[in-house]
Amino acid sequence: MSGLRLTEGSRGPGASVAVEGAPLTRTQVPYVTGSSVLGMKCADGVVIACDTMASYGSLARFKRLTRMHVASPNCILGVGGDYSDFQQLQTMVDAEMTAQYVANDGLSLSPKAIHAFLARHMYHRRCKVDPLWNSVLVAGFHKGEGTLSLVDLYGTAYSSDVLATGFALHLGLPLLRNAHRPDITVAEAKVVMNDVLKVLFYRDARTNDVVQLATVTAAGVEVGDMVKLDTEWNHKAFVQGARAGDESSW
Amino acid sequence: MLSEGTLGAVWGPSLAVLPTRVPREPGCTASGLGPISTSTSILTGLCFVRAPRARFWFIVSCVYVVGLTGAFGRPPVSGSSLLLCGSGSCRTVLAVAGKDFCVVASDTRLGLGYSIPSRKVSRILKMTDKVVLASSGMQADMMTLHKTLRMRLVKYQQNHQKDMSLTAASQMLSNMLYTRRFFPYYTFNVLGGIDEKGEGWAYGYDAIGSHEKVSAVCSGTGQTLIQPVLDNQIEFKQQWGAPKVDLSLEATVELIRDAFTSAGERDIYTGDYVEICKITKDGVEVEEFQLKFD
Repeated sequence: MSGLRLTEGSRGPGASVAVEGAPLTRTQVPYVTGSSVLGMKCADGVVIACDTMASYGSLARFKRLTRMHVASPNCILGVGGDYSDFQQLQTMVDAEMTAQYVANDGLSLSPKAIHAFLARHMYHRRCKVDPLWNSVLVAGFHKGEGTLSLVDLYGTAYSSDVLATGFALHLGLPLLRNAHRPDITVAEAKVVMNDVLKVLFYRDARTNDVVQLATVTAAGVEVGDMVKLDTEWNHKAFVQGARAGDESSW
Repeated sequence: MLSEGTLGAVWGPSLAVLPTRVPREPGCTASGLGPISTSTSILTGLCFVRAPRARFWFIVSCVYVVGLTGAFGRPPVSGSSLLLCGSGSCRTVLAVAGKDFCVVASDTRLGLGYSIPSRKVSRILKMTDKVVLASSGMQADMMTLHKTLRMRLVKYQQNHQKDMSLTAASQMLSNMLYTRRFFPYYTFNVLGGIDEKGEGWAYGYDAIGSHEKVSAVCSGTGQTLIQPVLDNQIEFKQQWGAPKVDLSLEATVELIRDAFTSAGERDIYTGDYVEICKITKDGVEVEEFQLKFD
């Protein structure tokens, strides 16, 4: 199904408004959506990256939105999927962090704990058949070690050295795996991220060319500015078409 | 009244989950879509149950759609997009028991459709020094099950001042699975360990707690490839008159390595690494074995 039809029929039987006696249903289709998020664990920290667009079906609806959320001084989330669900997640995480602060015991949630918190919540919502339609990358740096983990709308949760969500699971993850070394630095990884985001912009139609990178190191979270990608459109296959010189662009 | 709607195609055997609150019409059964006790490798399809009073389609089944991860903006199924299960595919887990040992093994690939989101996700839970559990199926359900099991094991240990025995653990797992009889944990477990007599045993489960005590069992996507080999090499099935040879621990581990290598050859969800847990009277020793990285 391409794009979003605005007729009532396209909302599906589950999305019907509450009628007496009917089961109440909520998000069964994501509406305003963000695309991929990328993440890489480095020797001296973690880098995550994403573009700054939120689409409404095939409409490029919002073009300067951040899809990142600073959860704590040493933990940041990068979120793809439904944007309103992302905002709900932000509220929820902030409320939990505030509750921890109010306890005034000098303790706060580690990145690993924030990941577990999100995983339990996402799983709880999918069991209610009312999922938060997101995949979330959690990047953190705690006790001298970086952590990079993922949670999705089912509550699936795992950690890895390189992670990607959405379209980048297909197009970005192999590039990240090739580029990754255990001793790669944050500075090097940032360059890799820019390259992969460029590839995604060329081929993922739900992406824009303004991107945002964030790092978590021993110094804490650093969220970069929104930066316009330096793109190149004179590649032979772009100009002459996919079969230029009978060499398929694939 | 299953599959009455024309809202989505039914691709294959489905796991029909009937919520207790939905009034069921006479003759309305879940068995039309296959009994739950068959260990279907991957959950596919969707179905709808009609609640007659409400006159609304109520989606109760879990849907697995390859290509779900394509893009969030494009709902992957026309008509309905309520997706629940299927994230983190089944992989291969097995348990082989010997005279005084047991070996439990699982590969670590997390497969999703044609993608491999991660190459190293453990599916093994060391329950006690003598009992190890490996689960295939949905990753989120597996995590939840393992988490709950860990809590129950700690509670047992603190109440009784001893670790849970293999038999007790096997029954507890069955009970926990059955508590979610009508909204199952989509996990297919194998449990292995050493019982109170010092004998090695393996237990195989379905998603809702049916289980049997055997000496070799395999679950997950590699089940169809590995189980026949175990039947032949461990249980000596259909080999009338042939002497049953008890394999040594080393020979068993060697067989398991070969079994996983072979399954990885043909099953796209099996690969990357195998975690092999060797359970003896001295405790659990974990070995990692590399498979194809394709």
